[in-house]
This record gives sequence, C-alpha cells and structure tokens, in this order.
Amino acid sequence: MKKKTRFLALLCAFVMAASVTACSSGGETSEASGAPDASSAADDTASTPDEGGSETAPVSGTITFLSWNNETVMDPVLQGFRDANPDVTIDLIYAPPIQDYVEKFQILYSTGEMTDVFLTVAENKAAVLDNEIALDISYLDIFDHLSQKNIDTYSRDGKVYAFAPDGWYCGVLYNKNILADNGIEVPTNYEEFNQSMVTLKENGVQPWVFCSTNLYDPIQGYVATETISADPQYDEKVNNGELTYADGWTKPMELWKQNYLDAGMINEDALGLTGDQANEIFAFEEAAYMVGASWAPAALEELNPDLEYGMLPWFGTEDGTAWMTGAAGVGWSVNKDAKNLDGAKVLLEYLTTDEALTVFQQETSGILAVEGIDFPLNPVLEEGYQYFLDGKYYLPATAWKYSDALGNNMTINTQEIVAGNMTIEEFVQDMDDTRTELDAEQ
Amino acid sequence: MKKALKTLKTEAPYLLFILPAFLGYTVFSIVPLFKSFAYAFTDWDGYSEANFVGLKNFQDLIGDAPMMTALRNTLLYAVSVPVLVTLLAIPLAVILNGKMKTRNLQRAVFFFPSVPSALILGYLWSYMLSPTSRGLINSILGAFGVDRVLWLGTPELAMFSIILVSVWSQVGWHACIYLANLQSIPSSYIEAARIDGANGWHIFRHITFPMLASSMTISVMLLLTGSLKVFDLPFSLTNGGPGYSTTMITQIIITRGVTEKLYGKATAMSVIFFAIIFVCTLLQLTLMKRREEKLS
Repeated sequence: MKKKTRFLALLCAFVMAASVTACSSGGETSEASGAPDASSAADDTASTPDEGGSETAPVSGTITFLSWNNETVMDPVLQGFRDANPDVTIDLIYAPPIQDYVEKFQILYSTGEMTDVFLTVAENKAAVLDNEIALDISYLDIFDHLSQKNIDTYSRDGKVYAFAPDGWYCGVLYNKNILADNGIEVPTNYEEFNQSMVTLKENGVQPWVFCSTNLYDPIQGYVATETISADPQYDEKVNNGELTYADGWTKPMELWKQNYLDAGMINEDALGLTGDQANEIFAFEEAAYMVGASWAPAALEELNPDLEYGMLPWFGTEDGTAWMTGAAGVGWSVNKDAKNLDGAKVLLEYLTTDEALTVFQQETSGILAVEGIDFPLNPVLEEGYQYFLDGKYYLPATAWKYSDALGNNMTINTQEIVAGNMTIEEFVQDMDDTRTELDAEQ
Repeated sequence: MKKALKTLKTEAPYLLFILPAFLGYTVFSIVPLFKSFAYAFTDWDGYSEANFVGLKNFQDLIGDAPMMTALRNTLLYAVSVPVLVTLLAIPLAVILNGKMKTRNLQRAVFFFPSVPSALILGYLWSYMLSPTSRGLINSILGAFGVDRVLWLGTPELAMFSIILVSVWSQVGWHACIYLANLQSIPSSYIEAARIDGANGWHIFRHITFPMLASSMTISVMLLLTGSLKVFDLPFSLTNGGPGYSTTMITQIIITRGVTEKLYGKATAMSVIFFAIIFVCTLLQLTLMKRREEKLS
C-alpha cells in the first residue's frame, strides 16, 4: 500500500474510534475546575445571616433554577413570585428527567456553575448530601404541615435539605368487570388475592400483565410488607453494614417466585412488552391485574374511558398488613453557595405557599403531601390515598445508598430470572456484591 | 524558508476556511478524548476529587461479566450487520439500476427506512414484534397457523430481531451507495463483454463487482464503525434485555459512568473500546484498500 494511502487509512480509523471515546468523557474534577470545596462551603453557611428571615423583603437580580419541569409547568408556578418581585429574573434551566437532569446537575456542580435553586431527586440525593451542596432549610414553616415521610426523605442528622411538596404511590390495579365475571370479590388480604389469581388462571383469563421493566414491583411490595413493616430502619442498617440484602430480601424473593413465577403469573411474554403495550392490554380488558402508579389513570382512561377499575395495595402474609409502593416527590433545594442566595431563599419560601403549591399541583397532577390544601384526586387513587397519608408506602430506591446501580441491576436481574438464567439466591447475592463493591470504590 | 512562507501565504485562505471546523473538532472531540484517557487511571465519581489508581480500572474490567457479555454482543452485531447488509445491498443496487418503469418509486421505498431515527424505528418495531395479539408479525404468523414467537422475549431471538431491524433499515441506504457507483461504470465495458458472449453472471462477476470495490470499502467501513458504536436501536427495542442479552458496549459504558458514577471504570472501558474500533477500522481499511488495488 502506498504511504499516503496508509496514512489516510490510519487517520480515518483514528477519527472513527475517537468519536466514541470522546463522547464518554466526563467533566472536570472538582479540584481542577474550582468546584466548591465542601468544608469551606460549610463554614460559609454557618455564617449566613438572616436565615429564614427574608421572606417579605423583595429581592432582585437573577436567580438560576435547574429543573426537570419545563417552562410550561414552571412558568405559571413562578408567576406569583415574579409579580411580587418585579426586579428579579428567573433563569430556568430545563433538563428532562432523569438521566439528562442528573448529568446536567453533575456538570454544573463539577464546573462550579451550580444553579441557585435545583432539584434533589433520588438519583442525586447521595451526591447532594455527601458533598453538602444544599442549604439546610429546616427553618421553613411548611415542614409543620408536610408529611413526615417527605421530610425524612431529604433529611440527614435532623436537618432538611430539600422541600418535596408531593409524592406518588403505586399498587395493583384491578379490573372490576373481570373479577365480577369470574365470581371474585375484590380481595382484602394475601390469601384472597393469591386465590383470585389462581381462579382467573383456571378460568382461562389472563390474571396479570407485566412489562419488561416492572417485573420487580411485587418484590418491592413484599419487601415493604415483610421486611420494612417489621423493621422500618432496615435499609439504614444495610447501608451502614449491620445487615445484608440477604437478610431482608430472601423471603420477599421466595414469595415472588412462589406466587408469580411458579404460578405462571409472570412468564417470558412480559420480557417482550413495553409499558405502553401493558397499558393497552389492561385498558382493553385483556388482563385482570396490572401494576399502576398514581399517574396511570390518565393514560388508561385515554385508551378506554369506560374502563371500570380500582386500586389495591400489596398484601403481606401477616393478616392486616398492606402497603403501597411509592415515594416522596422530587425536592426543591437551595444551593448553599448560591450566587443569589437571598433571592433563592425567598423563591423557595414562595414555593411553599398555598398559591404556588395549588398551581404546581394543577400543572403536574401530583399528590400533594401538604396538609390543608384541597386538590382533585382521581376516584381510583382514593383507594390508595389513605396509605399515602399514613406513610405506608415504600420504594427501595429512595432508601438505597446506591440506588442507580441497584435499581439497574434489579431490572436486569429479574429479567434474567424470568429467562431462566439466574436464581433468586444469585439475585440477592448480586445485590450484596454490588453494594460491597461500590462501598470499596468510595 | 522563503519557499515555506510563500506556500503558507498561498495556503492561508484555505486554512482559514477549515479553522472553525478544526477548532470545533479539537475542543469537542480531541481534548475530551485525551482527558478520558487520563480519567481511566483515576477513581473519579463525577463529583469528588479524582485520585490516581493506576491500572486498577483496567484490571477490574476482566472480571466484569456484563462488560464481557456486552463485548460479545457488540462483536456479534458488528460482524452480522455489515455482512448481511452488504450481501443484500449489492444485489438490490443491481436490481434498482435496471430499466424498470417504477425504479424511482422502488428506490424511494427501499431508501425510506433509513430516514427515521433508530429510536423511532425501535419503538415501531417493538409493536410489530409484540407477543400480544396486536403484534403484526405474530398476527400474520397466526393467520398461517404458526404459533406466536417471542421475538423480544428470549435472549437469542431478541438479538436476532435487533439485527433484522438494523439490516432492514440500512440496506436501502447502502444500496444507494452502490447504485451511485454502478451508474459510473461505463456502459461500453458491459457492451464489449456482451459482444464477447458474456452472460449476466459473468458481467456481474468480472465487471460490476470488481468495479464496486471502492464503494464497498466505504460502505463496509460505515457499517462496521456504526455497528461497533450502536446504542439507540437496541436501547429502544429491548433496552438491552432480556437480562444483558442485547446490551451493547456503549450502553454498559453509560451505565457504569452515568448511572453508577464509576467514571474511572467507564473511561477505562472507553479506552479499550477505542482501541478495538481503531484496530478493526484500520484492518478493514487496509485489507479492502489492498483488495481495491488488486482489482484495479
């Protein structure tokens, strides 16, 4: 080959390969980029004057706000604040949930350009708390009226670092007509529920529809009813090494295998289904049960406005034990090193007002966890609402130290079990191995 | 020295034209590339300070089972897709080069699948391959009395389905590359061969196919690099599942880096992957260029 041709070939190969490696590069290290130093930032906060006392004074300047709610949602929410503070400009930076948002957050923090107000979510919570990025906002009056679960979700050592006004819950959606046609009363406990699934299957009716990414939902339900119900501090004990996932997940996994896998309620069909396809199957009354969260009714009722359905909790083996899965919503936080700290604090205070929360609920259709604000609730969701108010809802990902990694493994490994490539013992072992490995990386 | 200055003066306007592209490529591709080489030797998590850890990230890759599975999947895909697309695109180009009345319509029809993004194709095909009664393929099979097939529900069939969709979406586009080349072959060669008694196969074997060598080099290179870097189609069609059966290297790199915050390990994977793509592309270009020279 001629020298020139060989050089061109080499150059071409390099360019093609380079485009992949370059894409995976992250941002700057905190040292190199001048990202805020945690210890000095902590000192700054300690000396922040007038904490919580600036709610009435109009503020000015620009407040930067990183949000995964776009302008369509946030502009009406912020309008009242803009009216009261005409000298303020809010620079809303939108990054869609979840990966894009977390990436944007990470880049802004790493480059020392973190916004004044931002969202703390399950996926960046550990980073926010470990790196002391957020201001302690325990002084806000709203916490006297907010669900304790929402407060606890974003607290550490008695201090609150984010205000999450709403939450969501998820349970078992059931088709009223299919149950009635098969002579099944709406189940009220573990035995009745399992028996109803068996009866439906015996009658040739498809009891459940799952999709490839929600096979683990019943496991989460069993972890809530069997493990968390008995020991609410279980996840904390796992996070600090006192207990293992084998201690709290083995029984739920066995129940899942017995009641869903071995009984044929979950099979390989689910591995080829998307969430939208599962919704269609349930909405068109081809399956009796489906996992459904508080946002499910909107999609289901659009597909079939005549659908008659309800919502059940996940039943535990002990009679009377029933939980929903779910979590507090995302929380608004103030950057401790905000360029416009006063403005950010006043904005957050505005976001705690009834006026702002009412508009926010209208825009997002979320389930408010604040006492004293009325909002419309879909009748289907009313069946699960009491569990939400009582704090009887649980989502492992919000309590896990490594929620992203474990959540990803849970999705993939439940698929591996259904495909016959993994056992439930290996599943639990993998959870502990992942945690140990990531602990070692810290 | 004088000569060099004169050359620079002559070339300066041209160099100015490429300067913006050169700067953009350097800042957004070359600099991050070299930075990622550096991160591969650290324990950076995206937030805290990066510490030098030597070759630990590279050593850890060997025991990373999902990574090895993803590497295997990627290589299988990167071999299958270029071979199948090339095998189908060349005959298709020859057919589309014929003198049919509807040839322009046919060209448009075959080209169309390459227009929508892979994400949209993945979403559409997930409906067509659905195991339910609404799945188009299974409905057709059912009409002929064939049992429904779990196209995306079993590991082997899921990979087959991804390759199938990928080939379907790319054949038309690569046939266009060959078609452009076919149209540049002087008709006198073919007429001369016909006068000498050559049949259709002889003309294809000894004139058409050798003269497609240069476009084949380009087509295979595009297919090979595109297949090694594939992310969007498997992600939208199966999200890498069931389990890890259709997870590609790019997805694992994103999972380890963005999801698990193990940027050091993710960049170490990227470096290895860079080397693989570099070697594969270089080998392919060298071999096919040699073939071109031999045929010319």
